Amino acid sequence: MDTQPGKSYHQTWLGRFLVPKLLKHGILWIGVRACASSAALTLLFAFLLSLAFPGESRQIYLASSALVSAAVTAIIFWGLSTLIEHLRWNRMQLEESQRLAHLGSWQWDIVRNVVTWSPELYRIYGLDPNRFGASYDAFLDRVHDEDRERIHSVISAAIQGVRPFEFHHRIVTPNGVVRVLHGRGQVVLDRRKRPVRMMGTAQDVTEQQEAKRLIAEARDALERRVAERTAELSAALRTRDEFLSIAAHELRTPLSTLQLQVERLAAKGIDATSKLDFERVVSIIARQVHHLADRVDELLDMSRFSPDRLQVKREPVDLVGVVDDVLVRLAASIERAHCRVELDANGPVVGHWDRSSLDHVVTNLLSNALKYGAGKPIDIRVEMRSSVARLVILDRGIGIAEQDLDRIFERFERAASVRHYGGFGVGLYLVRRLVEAHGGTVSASSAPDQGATFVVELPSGEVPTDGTTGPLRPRGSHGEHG
Amino acid sequence: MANTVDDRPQILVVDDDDDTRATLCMVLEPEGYEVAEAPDGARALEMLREGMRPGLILLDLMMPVVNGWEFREQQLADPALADIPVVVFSAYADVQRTEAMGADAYLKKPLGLDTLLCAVRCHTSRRR
Repeated sequence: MDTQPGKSYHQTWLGRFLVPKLLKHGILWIGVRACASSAALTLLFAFLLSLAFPGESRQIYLASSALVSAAVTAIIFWGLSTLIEHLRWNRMQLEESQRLAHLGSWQWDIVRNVVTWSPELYRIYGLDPNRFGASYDAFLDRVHDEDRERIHSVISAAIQGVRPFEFHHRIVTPNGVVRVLHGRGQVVLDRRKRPVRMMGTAQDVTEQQEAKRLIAEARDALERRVAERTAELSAALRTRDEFLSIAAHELRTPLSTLQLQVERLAAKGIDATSKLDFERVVSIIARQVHHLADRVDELLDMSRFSPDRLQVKREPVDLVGVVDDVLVRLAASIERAHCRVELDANGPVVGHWDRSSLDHVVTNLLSNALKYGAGKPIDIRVEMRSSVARLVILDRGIGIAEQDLDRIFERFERAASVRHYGGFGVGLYLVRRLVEAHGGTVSASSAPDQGATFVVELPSGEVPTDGTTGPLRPRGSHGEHG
Repeated sequence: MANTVDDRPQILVVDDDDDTRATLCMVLEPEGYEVAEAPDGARALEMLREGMRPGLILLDLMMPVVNGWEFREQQLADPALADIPVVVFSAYADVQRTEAMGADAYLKKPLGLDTLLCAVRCHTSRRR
């Protein structure tokens, strides 16, 4: 409400002088000052007129009285209009500020139970000022069910204890929106120190609360993620350390035997070694070298099939053919293990798979069967059942305890003792990873000393339109496994 | 050979790896030791409780059934066996856990022939 363009209301004479005086002394001040001024003016005017026009006293009094009355009326009118202007300006200013701050004010006449709200408070509550039955109970009705009891007791306690209060509470607007308000209030006493009125403010802090909630949620989520990631990394580090420890152990054991045998031969000299002794030494050395070579292969497999490098290059592959190839390649191992291996298959079982992966799976499962079921027959069955290829490898070896069945497919897990059967315990983990990369499953069933049965199920696989699938990276032929 | 079978110091080799046991036999017997073998801690304890009193136990750690640590615990708990010297001969790398066993010596695989024979000579008790 600028009275002059470019000049604030407070900079005018009205704002700086008259309105503060009016507010300070009240409307009576105008009247008293006006009457006093008019009396003085009347006397001055009459005196001046009597000097100017001697002998005409009656007319002079009438004229001066009329002039003075008109002047006083004009002054009072002007003063009132100024006051009203000021109040309007002030009220607009207040409403504008409340609207910007989403802050409403209220008063509660406790004696008459009448509640007065500022327009902003009505806006916050989403209520029509004409329809709201402005009472304390009507206010409580708008408060959220879960907060009502608490708010009532805080306000009651404030009245009884005559102390200011402050709280957060939720309200429900007529269209069901829940808003969060921050309320403050204080009690007003009458002359006999009885609480008669309460006044205060309520600020809509829904958005701040929502922002706070979102920040807290984001922070919690971030903290959770950091904790998870830290746990994952620690677990990965632990696993790596365990693996290194196992790997070192697995490599040191054959090295130890090799070193002792070689030094013994060197110290004794070949001439002093009997033929029988020599043959025993050579067979021990050969076994340990073989053992070391296996461990090195296993290390390479681990690196080659690590999760970030696992690639599936699909092509038409006959699973029976893959098993045949593996049987041929492992013939020497089969003979060493004194196992009779029987393959049961009715013709080719063809699907779209990665040949190298399947070769690895079959090699690994068969090697396992040879290792744990040495000296006993091994059965392999390959069949296709409703677009799912099934590979079953059954041995009659030491078997797996029930409590170990779940974990043998995890990395670095092995049901048998570490030393007794050698290996890092990653073979079945890689098998699982490779089978899962084909959308298949691998499972084991067993009981101790009753052999183990491993079942691999592979969906035959659709031929993708571009002739290949997934992130591809060509790998070497299965010959590398041997 | 001057020694008769009876006064040769006896060594009990406890290791689950057949080739390691065979190699230790081949290494120790020509040095004048009588070597007995056990594939795990359980069998070794059985042999000791049957009355065997070797001059030294050469003990592996990671073994099935009863491992090296468990064997040592049970050995120390038995007053009749507690005094038998024990030399740990293992690829196991955790030094702290191994040293807590209170064995007479710790040899880590792989190891030179001289070091092995030296340790065995130092710790083998002649008392049968």
